[in-house]
Order: sequence, then C-alpha cells, then structure tokens
Amino acid sequence: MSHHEGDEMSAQTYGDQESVGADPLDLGQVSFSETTAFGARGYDEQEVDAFVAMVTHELDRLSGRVKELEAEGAELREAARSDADVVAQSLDILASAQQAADAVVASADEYSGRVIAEARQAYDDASQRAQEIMDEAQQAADLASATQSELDKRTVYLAALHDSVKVQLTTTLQAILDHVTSEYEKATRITDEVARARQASSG
Amino acid sequence: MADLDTAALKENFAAVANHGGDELALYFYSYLFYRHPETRQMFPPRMTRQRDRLVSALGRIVSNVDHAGDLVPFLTDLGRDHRKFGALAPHYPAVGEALIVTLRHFSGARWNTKLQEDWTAAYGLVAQTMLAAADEAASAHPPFWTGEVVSVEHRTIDIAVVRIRPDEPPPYRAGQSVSLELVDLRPREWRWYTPASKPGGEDFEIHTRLIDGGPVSTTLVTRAVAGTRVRFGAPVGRMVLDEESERPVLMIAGSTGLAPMKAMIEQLAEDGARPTNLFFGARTPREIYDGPAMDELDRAHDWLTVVTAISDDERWRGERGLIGDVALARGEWSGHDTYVCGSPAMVESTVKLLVANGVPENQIYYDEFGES
Repeated sequence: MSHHEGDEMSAQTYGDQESVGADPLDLGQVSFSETTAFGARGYDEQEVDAFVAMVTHELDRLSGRVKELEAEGAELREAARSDADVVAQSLDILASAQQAADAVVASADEYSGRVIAEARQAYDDASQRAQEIMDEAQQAADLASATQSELDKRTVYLAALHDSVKVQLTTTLQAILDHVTSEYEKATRITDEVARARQASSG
Repeated sequence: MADLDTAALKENFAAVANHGGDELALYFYSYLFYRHPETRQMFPPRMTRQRDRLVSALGRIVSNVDHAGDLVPFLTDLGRDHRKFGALAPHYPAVGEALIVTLRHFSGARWNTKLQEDWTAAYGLVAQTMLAAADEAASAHPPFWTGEVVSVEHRTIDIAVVRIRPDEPPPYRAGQSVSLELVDLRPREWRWYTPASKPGGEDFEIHTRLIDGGPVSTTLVTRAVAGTRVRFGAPVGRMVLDEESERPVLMIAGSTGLAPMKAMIEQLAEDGARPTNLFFGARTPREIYDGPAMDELDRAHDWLTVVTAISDDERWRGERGLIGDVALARGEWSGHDTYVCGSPAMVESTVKLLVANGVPENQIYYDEFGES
C-alpha cells in the first residue's frame, strides 16, 4: 500500500498544474450546505453529487497519469540498464583492444630480444673462435721461434767451430811451413857446404 | 586519517586484489580512458608495465595507510615524478573516480556507503599529498627537460656510449640519475640513466647496455641517431659526493655502473682531489667498453688508481674475479667514502661484502633504478 501512496504523491506533484482543484488540502476544506428540502436532513444532495462527480473525474485523471508515469519510469529504467550495458561493453572493448595491443608490442619486444640474444651469442661464439685461432697461431709462432732459436744456436756453434778449426789449421800449416822453410834452409846450407868442399878439393 | 576505518580498507583491497592485480588495473585504465579520453596520451601504447606499477603502488599505499612516516615520502616522490608525464590537478579527480568505480566493480555485494566514503577520503589525502609535492617542485623546476642525441658510439655489440645535448642543462649532481624518454621512437616509456659527465657541460654522456627486450635501452642502442629527440625528468639519487667529507674515495663499478664514477671523478678533479681508487669489473675483456677513457683518467690524475678485473675469462692476464672481492683483497676501506654501482645483484652482494668487512653503512653510497 505504501508503495502506491508514494506513486500517488508524485503523481499529484506532477499533476498540480492541470489539477481542477481536488488536492488533499482542498478536500479538507470541503463543506456542504445543510439541505433546505422539506422533510429531509443532511447535506445538500446536489452539492454532494457534484462533488462525487468531480472526485471521480479527478481519480480517473490521476490513475491515468500514474499509468503514464509508470510506463515512463520503466522506459527510463530500461534505458539506464542499456546505458550501463553500453558502458560495460565499451569497457570490455577497450580492455580487449588494450590487451591485443599489449600482446603485439610484447611479441615484437620478445622477438627483438631473441634476435639480440642470438646475435650476442653468435658474437660471443665468433669472438671465442677468433681467440682460439689467435691462440693457435701464437702457439705455432712460439714453436717456429723456438726452432729458429735452435737453428741460430747451431749456426753460432758452427761459426765458432769454423773459426777454431781455421785457427788450428792456420797454426798447423804455419808450423809445417816453418818446418819446411827451416829444413829447406838447412838443405841449402848443406848443399852450399858440399859445393864449397868440392871446389876446394878440385882447386 | 583518524576517522577512516583503515582495517576495512585493507580488507576490502585484499578481497578486490584477489581477482588478480592485472584484471583490476585493466578495468581501472579502461574506465579512466573511457570516461576521460584525454588521459590516454599520457601513457605508453603498451600498458603491461604500467598496470604492474599501478597495482604495486596501490598495494604499497594501502599496506602503509597507517604509517604516514613511510607513506608521505613515497607519495611525495610519486607526485613530483608524475609531473613529467603531464599529470595536472584536474587529472587527480578523474583517477579517483576510476579507482572508486573499479573497487566497487570488484567488491560486488561487499560494497557499501561507508566503504565508498572511506575510499574517497583516503584517495583525497593521497591526491592532496602528491599534488602538494608536485606544486612545490613546480616552483623550482620545469616538469621535464628536452634535448637531442649528438652521437651513438657502439663500443661493443651490446654497449653504447651516447652523447646527449640538453636544450637547458638539467640540474643534476655528479652521480645522480635522470629518467629519459625517446620522445618519437618510444613515446611514454621512461628509463633511468646516469650521466657519466659532470654537470654544467654543453653535453653529457650516458652508457647504455642493450637489455634483452628492454624497450628504452634497446631502442637507444639500435635506433637512436644524431638528432633523435629526448626528454628527461628531474634528477634523483643519493649517490653523490659528500662535499664536507675529506675521506679518500673507493669506487666499485660493474659494467655500465662505471658512468656515475666517471662523473664523480670529473667532479673531484674540479672540486679538489681526494685519493681515489676505482675498481672496474666486467665478465669478459670485450666488456671493457671504455678502456681508453679509463687509461686517460688514470694517467691524468696522480690521485687516482684504476684497477680492471675480469670474472669469466681464464685467458685474462690481469686481475681476475668478482670486482668486490678484488677490491677487498687490494686494501682496507673502512675509512673511505665508498660508491657502488652495477647490476642489482652486483650492488646487493658488494654492499653486503663491504659491510661485513667493516665499512660503515653510512659511508656506502648506491642507488638502484629500473624503468621509471
């Protein structure tokens, strides 16, 4: 019941301007004349009938108005509900568009990250391989240089040997030559003496 | 926050977060962009990281809602940092609306008027703190600085040294970092970089390492050329020289963690030198990407000693091992101001090692940054 009273109250408020004058205040003020008809007592019948007719008319008008407003309220409620649906749908669309954008950027970033990681790995592998090749080259160079220094040592030794043999040979040959020279001188002396002796015996 | 039922807020957030943080953030941003389309351009095309950040910031705020001492500095930094995204006062109510709608959506039948009032009040306080910090910063600095790439030198396959010429020099101190955005190549994605040059020059150098899939560094190394436009945010970081200190300096750098050390060495040379030991560590000899510059610094300054160590190559004939171990084997550093920069794992282990070897924690400086 209280629900209906509420509706009627708002209906009266809306209806005030077109009201023909039957609102609660007016009803409180209604008074009827005593009947003046012979043999009768009470209110004037014509006035009461007129009042009832007016109230009936006003009630009809108000109940029509109530129906109109109920329909209007239902429409508004429906519109609000569909607005809320539109908002919820818009939020859903925005959210999924954002998620789609996030996924695209994430996959681009992920791809670039992978390419970079692979490039870095390739670079590291290549540098390591280069380092290994350089190490091998260094080892080969070390080996070659060790061989070279062995050869150098032999050369020095042979040169020294050569020098010392040369000195020894020179010394020996000199000695032989000296010996031959002195023997030759001796022989010359003897020959001279023999020649002188022969000359003395013949002369 | 006296009249807020913070226990109810925490409980409600836990229940809501149970639907999955990413779901929550997806709904939040969808609603924000639907109702306030003008906010969309403040965000990168890809929102994955952004959603993580939102959820972790919300989680941090909610779990600290009773500890203003922890919460206020966090919100202050957040408010200041949001200026570079173009966040203005009118954006804050829009975010608040989206937040309430999201919480209501995921709360279902648990939602009630009291929760709505408390969340609204709590968000109001958060927004007020962030905006106050942003306003204060606005009186000192522009929201961001602009500039362009001068050169990109690829020193190894994945490390580049990039020179940047700012239109107006950002007021960083040697050792601090700035967040950087490649305006056209990777809009709305920011990452921290540390200038390797002392402030005040016509241009400055940053060292960047190509991280697999990291959007900003990858783009910077592979696509940036002379003329590429950049923006950077306000400088941050506590890794700076203590001008009052007369202690000698120990610097331990892993890979591109060398950048702040170079900036601070330049600064020391200008402000008055202190005996300084720089230890630079890399995994392989090819990662010694700035060798000539380090040799040059070593030659130019008699107060500076540079040691390079390699951890992963047995053929290396110099110092071998992790750079922290090498530094500790080389000296006793408890009387030094000590600076550590490198990967998060390197920084964590090196700082632990230093503390264990008697270097007082208040003499150890380090920062950790990722995407901004």
